[in-house]
Amino acid sequence: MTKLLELKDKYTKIFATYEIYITSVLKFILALVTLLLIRGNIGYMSKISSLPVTIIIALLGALLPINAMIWIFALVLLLDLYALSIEVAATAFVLLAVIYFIYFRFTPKDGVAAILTPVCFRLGIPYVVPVGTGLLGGAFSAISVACGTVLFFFLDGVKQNASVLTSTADADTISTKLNVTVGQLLGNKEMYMVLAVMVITTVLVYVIRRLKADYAWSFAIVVGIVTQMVGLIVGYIILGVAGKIVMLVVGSVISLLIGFVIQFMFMNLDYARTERVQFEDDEYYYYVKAVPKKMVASEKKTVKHFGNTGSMGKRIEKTKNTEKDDYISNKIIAEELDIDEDVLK
Amino acid sequence: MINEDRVKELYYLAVYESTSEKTHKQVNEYYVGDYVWKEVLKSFFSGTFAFAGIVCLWAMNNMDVLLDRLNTMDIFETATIVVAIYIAFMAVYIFATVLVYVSRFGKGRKNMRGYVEHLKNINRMYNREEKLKR
Repeated sequence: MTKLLELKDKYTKIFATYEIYITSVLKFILALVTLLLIRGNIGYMSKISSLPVTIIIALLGALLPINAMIWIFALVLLLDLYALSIEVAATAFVLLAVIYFIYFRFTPKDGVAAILTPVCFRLGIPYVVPVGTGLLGGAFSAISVACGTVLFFFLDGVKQNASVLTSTADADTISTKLNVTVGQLLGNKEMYMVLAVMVITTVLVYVIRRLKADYAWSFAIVVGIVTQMVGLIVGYIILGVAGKIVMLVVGSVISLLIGFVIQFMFMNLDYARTERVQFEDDEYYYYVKAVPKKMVASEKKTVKHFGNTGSMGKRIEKTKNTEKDDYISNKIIAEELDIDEDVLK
Repeated sequence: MINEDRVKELYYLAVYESTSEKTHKQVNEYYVGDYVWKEVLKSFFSGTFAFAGIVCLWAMNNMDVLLDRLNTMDIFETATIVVAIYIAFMAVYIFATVLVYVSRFGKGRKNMRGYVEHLKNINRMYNREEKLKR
């Protein structure tokens, strides 16, 4: 544990020193992973989804704010879907507009949660997002999680129905394409179920972690993961998709571990050393509970001196030595070393 | 010589001005009621657009049924249902707006108070220095 705390301290210092560069690198990684997932799943426009263009866009994303990155991702999505079918692109445009009017109106600063939700869904660990946003964000972060969830299910549905959606266009096909594209979203019971569980979990984690109880964060993480597991297992059984339960359990365990890593990084308290103090001023009486953070004393460097070090660290004036000064210094050194002064001449 | 305390206070001011000033500026310009009403008005438009988008998606999904029943459809009844759903949607949307922006106003007011405290400290420091000079 002490070693971990030392490492955390070390990395925090490094992050503080090179914050600008590290933030840009992290943004680049986030943008690259997102774009690679878009490319791998719905990269229908070869020009925009080619690897060099993906890397260039990711580099651009590293220099821009998160919300600008969201605009870029939306544009890439629309272009890819346009290459698949104009009807799908039109539906995606309307859906993104609805998300825009909800997301940007209420939680414009939760861009990371909005991006990470579909990304984590694709990586198989979406359960970490409600826990993470509940711990680090506010209750309204649930809106970002909801927007990300809807977007994921839409894109996943498009990917699964890609063969139907690429067929040639005539009046009947257009109608079918619209039915398939919108129907797989609006008629997706699994999406509504997952959406409800994720929103409830986000709010629950937020409420629990704000409690004044000891170990509130740990409790919030465990309750968040258990709520999702129970809610989704029940939902999957009702919907008859029990095959997803194994991945759900694996993803939940990974999410639990990530949740504790988040806690370690942002709220690592030592409840064993809790102090309760009471004091008063003219107007109030205060009951204060102070919980110290787990910290390690910074490593002290010991410098070992060998030999006579009485004059070490003393400032030596850089003046032109006169013959007299030389004589005096020689005399002192000879005395110090207990040797004959003539040896130094 | 650099006055360290003053540098610390100036740092707080600079951080606030560079990060939160734009967001919380309106807190200083409006009463809570006016601020929330302004946002509710904005939400009225954005909510209406969002609802139009949802209706559009629903229409895309049910285009065949809509086209089949277009001539036999009771327009008045359909319009009543749509308006009722719109009112319910807007009620939720505007309620969320009120919750979000009341909370945002409270947070902004708190930050603004902190900023003013630092501003006062700076002012005191300058006044003290002026007196010493005299």
